[in-house]
Amino acid sequence: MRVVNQLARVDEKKCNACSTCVKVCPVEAIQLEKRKKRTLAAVDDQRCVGCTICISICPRQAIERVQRKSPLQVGVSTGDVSQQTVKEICEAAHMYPDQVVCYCHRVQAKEVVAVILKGAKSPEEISRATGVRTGCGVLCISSTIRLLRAAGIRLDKAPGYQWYGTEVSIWTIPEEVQKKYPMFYLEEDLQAINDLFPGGKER
Amino acid sequence: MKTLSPSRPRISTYTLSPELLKTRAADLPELTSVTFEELFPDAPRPIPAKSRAEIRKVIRALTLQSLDQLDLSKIQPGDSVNILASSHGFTVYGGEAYVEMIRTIREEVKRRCGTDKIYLRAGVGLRFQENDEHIKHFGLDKDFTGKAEGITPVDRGVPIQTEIGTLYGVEKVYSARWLIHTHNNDIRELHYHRQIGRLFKPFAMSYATIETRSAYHQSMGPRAANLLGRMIYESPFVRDKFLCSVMLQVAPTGVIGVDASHDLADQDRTFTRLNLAWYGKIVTLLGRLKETIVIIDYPGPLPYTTAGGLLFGNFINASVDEFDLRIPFPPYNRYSDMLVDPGGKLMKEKNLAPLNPAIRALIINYCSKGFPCVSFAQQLPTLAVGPQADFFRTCEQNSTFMDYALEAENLRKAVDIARRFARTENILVFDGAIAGFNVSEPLAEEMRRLAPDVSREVDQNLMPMWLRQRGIQ
Repeated sequence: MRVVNQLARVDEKKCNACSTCVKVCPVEAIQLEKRKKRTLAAVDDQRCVGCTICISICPRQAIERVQRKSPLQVGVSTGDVSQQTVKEICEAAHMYPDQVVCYCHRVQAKEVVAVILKGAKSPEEISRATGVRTGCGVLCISSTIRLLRAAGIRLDKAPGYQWYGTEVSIWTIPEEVQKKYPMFYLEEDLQAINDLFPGGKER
Repeated sequence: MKTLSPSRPRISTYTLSPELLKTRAADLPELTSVTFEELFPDAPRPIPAKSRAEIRKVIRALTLQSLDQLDLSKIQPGDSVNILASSHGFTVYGGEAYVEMIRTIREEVKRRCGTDKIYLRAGVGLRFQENDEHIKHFGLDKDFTGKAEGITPVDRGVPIQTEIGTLYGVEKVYSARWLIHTHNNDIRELHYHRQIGRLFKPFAMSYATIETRSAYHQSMGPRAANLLGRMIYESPFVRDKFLCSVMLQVAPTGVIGVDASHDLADQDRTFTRLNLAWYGKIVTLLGRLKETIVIIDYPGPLPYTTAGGLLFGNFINASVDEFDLRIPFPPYNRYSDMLVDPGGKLMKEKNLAPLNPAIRALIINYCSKGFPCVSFAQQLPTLAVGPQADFFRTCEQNSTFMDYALEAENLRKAVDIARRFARTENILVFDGAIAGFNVSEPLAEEMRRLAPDVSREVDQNLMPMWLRQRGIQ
């Protein structure tokens, strides 16, 4: 369980409601809101995990990180879901339950699957519950999507610019491409990865 | 011999304030230096520029000379041109050479083609504000009259149809009629690219959105993943816009020159050969070291800290021959990051290469935040020096780093403590030194002793094998 002590706050004087922050927030914590005479970005304190992606991306430097009044706990229990089902979904995604999916917060595959089994249907819901994609915001998206697909969940269009549903992986490379580009050792890597991560029904 | 000058501290959102950096590793009395020239007399000679002004002058001339070989006539007056850059170039040997190359390309395109719709689009890794900082620091915002900006992987994407399916680039990268790809050839993330298609990598990274980058890292092996950049480059969408590639040539000894080509595949083959020749010996030498304390003292993220043109990341994996394509590795960071348990133990030991066992202690005096590094602290005995330890605690990408590292009051104490538990007098520093390493005297002696054998081994056995594996005669 990770304790989050900070959150994003929008400077109303600087914000021009361009909505860039809305489109990049991995936990959908920011919405545009109508205030008296203006529309502004507004942060939902209960959702924001203080990841700073919005701060980095805001073209007007209108967002800052501030201390939370009360800490937010991010994390999920894995003991109350079927361990066998967790294992099966991880295997279908070529993963191990204990394997790390998010390198920043060290979230494991079994935690992501537990959230899926508890009803999460999108990367954003998983991010809110586990913290994946709230560190670097980049590296773990394809693993998250692979686990969702392995659990049989179809992904609709993402909100904003957060993901688009790429399906390319070592398991999807057409045979003719493998033959055309031998210098990339595609067959050999497929074999090596399948040896290390057996299973696989993610498609 | 005196120590080599370390990189100066950098003022950035991602680095410690310079005033908090009390001691540099190069100032430790037990340190000396060893240069590549003395280790390997056949090392390439760098441009002999002594000052920044001189570097700029030489790079300008070399860039113009290389552009003279190219046909830019496709660019019509009024056409838009995106000069594409990557963040690492702004840090290679201080960044001056890369920046001057970019400046010169802009001026030459404007002069020869009669367009001033020339934009700089600089792709970044995991520190989204970094390139805007570089652009401002080097004055590129003024040079490009405001048409210069950093682009991030969370910017709006554009679908690119490739032979292996749809991949996603950053829309702003591809917004112009013409693209000029600027990059540098150093081996940098050898653990990812294995010197296969290294010059294509930015198409799957710097210029791509999070998913394509994530697929590269998580869903492909470190040989196969390099196909993604190649596929994007080969797509009709990109080929229609691609005009040329301009490469800053670098070697462990420094900046070597500038090379430009219309054919990135051909250029990549040339640089594959050169990189194996230029980097093979020093990387192999690092792999022969048996034990050392490492001190990190550079304004870059931990595995991207450099010494002599090599990354600490290259040393982390030097115990395996990453150039040898027979050796398979699983996806992602150091091959083990995703399979290391909270106790620091590898889950699948038989299949994974551990971090270089020669690293007996890791001391972090100074580095940037903004790259996930917890697994290094989990697997290596790690000490962080006071202010840097505090800085790690504020890093969104390393929220538990200090749970696995010890804090030392200052660098002197950190080194004394590390010596006791590491039981070695060898010290290797990653501090941005150019053309050599700052090391302790015993390690300098060890390197000098090993170098001749390494040189013979690479020349006679390894180099022919590396080339053969890449289809190069």
